[in-house]
Amino acid sequence: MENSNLSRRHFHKLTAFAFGGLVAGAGAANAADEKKPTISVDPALLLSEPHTCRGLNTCKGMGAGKDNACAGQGACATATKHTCAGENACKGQGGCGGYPGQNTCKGKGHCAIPLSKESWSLARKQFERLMTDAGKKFGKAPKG
Amino acid sequence: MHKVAAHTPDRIQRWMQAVIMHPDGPVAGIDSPLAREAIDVDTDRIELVVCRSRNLTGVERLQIYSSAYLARLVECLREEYPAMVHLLGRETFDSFAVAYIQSHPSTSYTLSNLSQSFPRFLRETRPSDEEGGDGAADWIDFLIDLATVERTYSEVFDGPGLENSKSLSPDDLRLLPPEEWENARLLMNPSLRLLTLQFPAHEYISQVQKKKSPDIPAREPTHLVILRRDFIVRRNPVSARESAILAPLRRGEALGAAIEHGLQLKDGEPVPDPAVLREWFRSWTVATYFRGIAAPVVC
Repeated sequence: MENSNLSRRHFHKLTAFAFGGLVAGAGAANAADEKKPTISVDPALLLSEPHTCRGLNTCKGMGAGKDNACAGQGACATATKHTCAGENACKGQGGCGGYPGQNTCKGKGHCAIPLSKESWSLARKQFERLMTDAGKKFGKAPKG
Repeated sequence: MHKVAAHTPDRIQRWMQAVIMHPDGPVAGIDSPLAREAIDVDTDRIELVVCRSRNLTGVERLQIYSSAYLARLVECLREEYPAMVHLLGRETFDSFAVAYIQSHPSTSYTLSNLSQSFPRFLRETRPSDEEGGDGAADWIDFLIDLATVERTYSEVFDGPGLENSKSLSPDDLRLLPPEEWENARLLMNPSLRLLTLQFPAHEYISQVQKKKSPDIPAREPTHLVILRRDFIVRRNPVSARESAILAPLRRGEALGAAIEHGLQLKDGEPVPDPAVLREWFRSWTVATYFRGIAAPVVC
């Protein structure tokens, strides 16, 4: 052992204790496994629905009990917007206001770029609001 | 209007994909090599492919799909980073999400990979302390820690685990002679991840999950083990010295070398008593940090 005041003998002792911990833990885990009910479970079934959703990356919210937690359902809402576009009801509902920097705007050269700098500025505002709400002091605002 | 030559569904599909998914919007998408390769049409002649409606031009109609595509990806990020959304507010979070998606367009078959670079993106675009303003540095670092933990939760949730195989068993250890213990290499649970953070971001996330409104925690060096057991993602805070032992084990270093690495840590923590070390390894094993022991190398 380099740079250590521990003797070789003590180091071997530590290793032996660590290995003993492994043995004790493996035994305990093994005993716990044997106590588990032997219900036949097909992990594929367990994962299939979350996995389907997970592929859409939105299943985490399901626990919150939201009906529209899955992306597939979220997509439906988007599709609804599509259909109403032909009736001119959606125009103005999307655009820069909802998603600053979204493709439309950037393609038309309207949105502020670089966006990440803008994002951090927004974050700073949120920071100031949170700090104020919490009654905490903070420094001056970022330079523009 | 001129009639456009009929295109095969395959070409139209590839063209639509290239146009709708282009990070700079459909106008840039129409001019992209990928789209032009499928259907060679510029924006002036776009309505030969997508007709205008009574109210919308062809580009505007495409824009609806393009915006919806982006909105759906942003929605995915919101679902994956609920604590960040809570901290930032939805509008600010969306701003970060859009910036990220535009610089890291989705290229994978699965949306699980969409935000894999989001924490790195935040680190790379992090404003300097001067730009961030006094007092903001802590908060920015916390935001990055938060993103790191939430992304890790997702990766552990989606990644391989031990649910369909066994963890370390007494039989794995029984046959190893004492003189080989020091050289034993433990095989880790494939879901196990080790994070070193500047803040206890996991506690903030737990509070948000409980529908509470936590304050931003004070800066505190934090070491986390995150793994999945019985299909549940779990996080265990560990000491710096525990982390210093687990890190080399995870890299595949031998038991003795990992312990030595942990003992050399100089951060004020006392050198562990042998009984403490034993308890660490016992609890780690019960918590299925290990799945087995590597076969000894025969020279």
